[in-house]
Amino acid sequence: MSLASDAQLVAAARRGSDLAFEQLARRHSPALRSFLRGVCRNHAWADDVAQNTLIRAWQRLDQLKDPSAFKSWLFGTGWRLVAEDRRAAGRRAKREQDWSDTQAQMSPEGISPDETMALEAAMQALTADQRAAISLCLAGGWSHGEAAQALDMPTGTIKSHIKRGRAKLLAVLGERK
Amino acid sequence: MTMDDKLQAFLAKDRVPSSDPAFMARLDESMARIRLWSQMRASAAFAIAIAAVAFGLYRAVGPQAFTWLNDFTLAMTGTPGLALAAIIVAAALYLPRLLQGRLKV
Repeated sequence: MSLASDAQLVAAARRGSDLAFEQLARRHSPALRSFLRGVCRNHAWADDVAQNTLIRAWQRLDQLKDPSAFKSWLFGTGWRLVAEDRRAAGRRAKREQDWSDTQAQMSPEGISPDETMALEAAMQALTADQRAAISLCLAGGWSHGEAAQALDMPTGTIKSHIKRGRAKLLAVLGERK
Repeated sequence: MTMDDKLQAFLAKDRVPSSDPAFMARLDESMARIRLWSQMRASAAFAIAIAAVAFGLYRAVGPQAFTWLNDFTLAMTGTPGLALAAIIVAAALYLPRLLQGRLKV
């Protein structure tokens, strides 16, 4: 497996190497999909957006100013695509219904189905910005600065979204104790 | 299990495995489709331009000027070795373009 840096792979992909772009996609798509699943709250929709994000990144690779910042640029592209996709409200509503129908059957170990459903409802009640910040920093382990760069928000706003969102999610668990 | 642990377990539910061949295959397919369409559009534009130029030339200089093409075609069909050489030269010119995206990393 190649250990080429993102910047080297971006340079090779810009010269027309599909293999280089494939390596970039393999490297970053799991984290990208996890982030989008956290934001969209629907795995099928999130994976569709992830596909579109990678295709758009491939087509617009020349617009990336700093090749070493490929990861945050990719996540920022995904974040903007989610916002664009939100306009297709009817399609999303159908998917969300399908998704919520399967939620009770997918409880992680150590959490009851009731708690999972309550957390899912609380997560969906958060704003998209709060979900994005939580998905990147609490679930993905990103620093506040990295998340701020990818989501194009001030670092203070990211911190505030995480604090408020986390409090709402924990409150749900506290109520059920 | 603390509330924080539960929250982390809930958030980990969205985590995607590090390898997903089906997802990557779908991506490869989409990229190949886009590339094919783009090549077809470019080829079509090129073919239309060539046809327009050829038609313009034909109208301008008349059919006599194209007798060399007829002679060349006859020579090619009458000499299999020459035709084979032409195919090899054409392949040698075209293959690097065809393999460009596959060989470089």
